[in-house]
Amino acid sequence: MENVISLLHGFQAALTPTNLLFCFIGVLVGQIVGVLPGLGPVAGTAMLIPLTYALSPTTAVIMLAGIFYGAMYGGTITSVLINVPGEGASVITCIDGYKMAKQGRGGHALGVAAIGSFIGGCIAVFFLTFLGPVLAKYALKFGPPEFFSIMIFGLLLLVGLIGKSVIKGLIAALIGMILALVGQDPGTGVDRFLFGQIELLEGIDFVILAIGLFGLSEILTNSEEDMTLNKPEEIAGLIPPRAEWKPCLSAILRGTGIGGLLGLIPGTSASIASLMSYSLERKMAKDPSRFGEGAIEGVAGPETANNSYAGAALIPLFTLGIPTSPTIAVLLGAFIMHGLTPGPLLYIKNPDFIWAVVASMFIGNLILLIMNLPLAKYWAKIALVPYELLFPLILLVCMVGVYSVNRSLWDVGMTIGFGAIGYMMKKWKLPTAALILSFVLGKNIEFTLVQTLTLSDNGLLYLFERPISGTLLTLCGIILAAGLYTTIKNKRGALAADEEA
Amino acid sequence: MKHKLLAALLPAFLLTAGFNAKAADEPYPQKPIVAIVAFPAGGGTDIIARSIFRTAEKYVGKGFVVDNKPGAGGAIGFTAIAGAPKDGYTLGFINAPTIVLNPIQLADKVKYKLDDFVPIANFVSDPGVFAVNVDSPFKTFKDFVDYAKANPNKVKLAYGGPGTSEALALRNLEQKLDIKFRKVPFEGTGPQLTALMGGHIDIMISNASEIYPQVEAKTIRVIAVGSEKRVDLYPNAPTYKESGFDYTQVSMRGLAAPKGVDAKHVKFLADAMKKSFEDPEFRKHAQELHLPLQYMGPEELAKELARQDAFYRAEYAKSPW
Repeated sequence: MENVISLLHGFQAALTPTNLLFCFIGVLVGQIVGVLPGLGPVAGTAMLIPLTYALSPTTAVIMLAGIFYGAMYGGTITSVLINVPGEGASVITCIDGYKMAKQGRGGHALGVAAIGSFIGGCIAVFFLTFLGPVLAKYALKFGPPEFFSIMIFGLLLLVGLIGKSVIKGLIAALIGMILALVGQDPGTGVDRFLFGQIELLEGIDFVILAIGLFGLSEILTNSEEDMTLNKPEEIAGLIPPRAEWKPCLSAILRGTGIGGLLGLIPGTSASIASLMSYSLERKMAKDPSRFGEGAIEGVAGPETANNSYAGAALIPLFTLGIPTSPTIAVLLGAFIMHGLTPGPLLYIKNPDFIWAVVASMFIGNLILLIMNLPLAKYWAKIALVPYELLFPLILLVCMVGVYSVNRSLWDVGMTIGFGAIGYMMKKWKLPTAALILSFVLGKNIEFTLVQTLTLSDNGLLYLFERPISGTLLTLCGIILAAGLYTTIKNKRGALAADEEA
Repeated sequence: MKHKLLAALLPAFLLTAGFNAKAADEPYPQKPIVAIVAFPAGGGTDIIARSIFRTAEKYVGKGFVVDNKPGAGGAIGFTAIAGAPKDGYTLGFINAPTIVLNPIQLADKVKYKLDDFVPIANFVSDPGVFAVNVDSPFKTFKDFVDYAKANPNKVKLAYGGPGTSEALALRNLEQKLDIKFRKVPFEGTGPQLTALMGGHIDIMISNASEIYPQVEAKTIRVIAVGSEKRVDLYPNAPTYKESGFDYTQVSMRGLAAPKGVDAKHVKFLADAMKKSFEDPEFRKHAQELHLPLQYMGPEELAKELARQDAFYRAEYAKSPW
């Protein structure tokens, strides 16, 4: 009850004209940053921190948090319309979202993503404001062995989604793992695959890989085809047909749960949340073969999951002072810059601040929903723009986006290189989504494995000595068996869609 | 005809000559100064840069623009500073020991030398710290060392990974006190804290300013700091030296110009930075941000960089870490 009153006070603070204005600016900038390929939430938030110097801490953090979740909305738009994921969490959205856009259903995809994100974001924030502080302590039970097991779990889900040819899927996934090895070995510090280039010291940047493999290769392969083909005749509206409401709502609710729980655990990632949600939806669907061909649940679930993850991920920051993702780490910097010390004391020392920011998240999500529902219709019309005009434009925006992050031509060159690799992969029917997801997971798998083995007294057995990781790995065994069974039986998976694009 | 041409050219010549003379004497600075920061916005170096510049504007007369050029553990930004125009309008933040370590550890890849920089001032010296959970049996650094001695290879210690200055501190600790522990690499302080608070590791080594929130909240304790003297941030924590470990481990953040900038400009900037550092406005702000301040002038900073260079080269000659 006390919390409810505090939250109401928070709304009072968040609804002052200044805070409302900056909340609006935040989500708007976030959305723009999310739409521009290359400029993800990390770069966007980091670039705008200096501008918040003159603002009061509450106003500043309201605005920066707005950029953070606004960018999640924006990322959906590029994933659906031009097949360019802004970050790991949106890779999955490309699979069915882009297919939907090609069928003229981009509006439906964006509409359901906006509604799902709103519901997921709000429910996650609401529950976690009350339960978060308690749950956050339990989340600490997850150590390196548990993270390793979660990542392996994610990798197995990925294997379950691999397309028609398991061999080709595994080839793509292994290339992803190898690319994840570039940079310094976490255990010994030895340089790997640097080829004398210091730019590769910290590994390959996700954004560069994603824009190259997805965006550029898509443009290249499409340019070969007759440009007048594959154009949707007309653009469907925003609200999906009534028959899809129920499955969408269930997908949204499941996505909320998955994202909310994973967000609480520092060290997981939003990509895992969207990956889990996608495979769950595919398992629950009556007709799994629709997945990869434009199944609306394949957009609704993962998009909700990554937004509810984003909301939940703020709880460890507020309660423990621990950033759960690179974007949250940038927000942590912003807190410190404004003289606020995140952590348990924040609830005691600056309760007004916390509640105002929490309240602003509800308001910001609402602003995003109101802004996006009418806008989605116009965004979706991008699919009607003639390819001769659209492709050069996308190419330009991608290149400027990549360049702007570090202002480095090296990055631009890498993107073009990955574009060429992606093009060849499409020619050879290797699923690019499998590559990029295993790239994201591979880095974490290696790191947590090194940590686990250092902590362990008897090698890999340590993983089974711990209840949480033991359970997860056993579950992995079951999923592996089931996954192999279904892939062999159906000879067809969702990522197969990728091959035919 | 010739005369006419001469007559026409002469004023033009004089005019340019006048301009040239003016360029050398013109008051500095004429326009805002760009400062390269080799780490992302919102990070520790970025925060001190923006705080000092806010005050420094008063003494320099022109504003500063922070230009974040992150990548390759700072090497990309440092290289950019070394190669910047020598007109005094591009400066950069240098982070010792990182800036010293890069050319030693990555000799074949890093394209700058320590000589490429002219130090202006140091602002922050963030000491290394050993921290444990608040309910840890290690009450003091000595408890930790004694336990590690009695139980070789048992203590689980979180650090920033091989090749870092923390790794070198740990190597020295192991050699000097003849102990051995399990060094678990982590990517950044956040994950280290999670693991420490969750009881997955026994002790962590990090930097003083990065763990302040958790120390203030009394979830973790600092048992030793790596500076020469105790720090204001944790007055009760003894230094490594007081605890029987003869070693210093400090991360510094200071300003430098690329070599070749007019000495007058460097002197002007050094004076302005000293005044800014002493300004109460900056002091108040720094206190709010819990920055472990330590001022060094150009000579002192240059000497310190040279000392570190010699030390790390000697250590590297023994064997890389």
